[in-house]
Amino acid sequence: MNQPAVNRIDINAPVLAKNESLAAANRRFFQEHRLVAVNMISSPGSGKTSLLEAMAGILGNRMVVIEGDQQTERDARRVRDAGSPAVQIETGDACHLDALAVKEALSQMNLSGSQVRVVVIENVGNLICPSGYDLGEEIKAVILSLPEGDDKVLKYPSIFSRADALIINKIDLAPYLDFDIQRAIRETACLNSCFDTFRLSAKTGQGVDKFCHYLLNKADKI
Amino acid sequence: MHEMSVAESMLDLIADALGGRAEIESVSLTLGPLAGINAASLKFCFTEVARQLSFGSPKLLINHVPANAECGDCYQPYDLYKPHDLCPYCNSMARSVTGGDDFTIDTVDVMETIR
Repeated sequence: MNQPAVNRIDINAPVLAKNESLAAANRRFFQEHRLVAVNMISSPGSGKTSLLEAMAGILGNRMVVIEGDQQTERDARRVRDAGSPAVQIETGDACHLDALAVKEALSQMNLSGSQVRVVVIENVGNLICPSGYDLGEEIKAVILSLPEGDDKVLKYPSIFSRADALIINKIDLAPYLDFDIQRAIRETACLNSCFDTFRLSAKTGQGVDKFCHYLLNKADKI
Repeated sequence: MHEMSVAESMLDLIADALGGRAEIESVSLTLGPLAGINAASLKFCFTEVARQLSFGSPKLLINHVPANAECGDCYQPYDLYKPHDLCPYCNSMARSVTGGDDFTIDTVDVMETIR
């Protein structure tokens, strides 16, 4: 007679182990090319692409952008028109980028001997799904914009706990909104003991130069 | 909704470890509060994806582990299970947190027919 039995097998591996090994390869690539890589994450509409346009005006050919827009080439075109090269990854319905998509985008670029110091990967607009996917970046930059409200940090703890840079955008709207910037910083600090904060407006350009210099300084240290 | 692609990654990893498909009874997973994973939706997605990929209809057993917090006011260490939790000794929210992003497959129970 056949008798079913259960056999226990030890795995003991991170669920996203394959993504992590591809991310490690991307990280080596960035280090070998002395590039600082930024994974830019936020809700839709917080101003990622507008910030990239403002950064392109300052960094020009020292920055390249990998765009993770879902359906169109529109964002990549906006960045190119503002002065920096951009490659589009077509993500379709995906809710996050993974290390493989970034690896493929890097293979389309020729970065040897170029002026590029900063690679910004604009993730899909989403505060939840991108958080666990390492892309090989040095800086995970999370943007929170004033119209979204100051209570977002503890609603999306995973991403704020992993942020290296907390960017508070649309500060030109501060006089019209009740957003408590100190609260957002304090609540990030209760999840994350090591991050830098930048207050800026992609629209007026206020504070964007500071963020660009921070990235260039990071690149100089590689 | 990345739990669907997470479930696919899990079965990919399991298939590699097993050297192919098998009928799975259950999978145990360790999950921290800062991993960014919704346990209920992952359980649903995992069983569904497993069934579609012919791994039987395995149960997903989730072991919830805390992040380590140290209070910024009274300096007592405590276990943080939810991001809104306050220090159990002095009710402060100021703290430094380490870990909590745990997300690993621990064991897989496979059905075997012994003849």
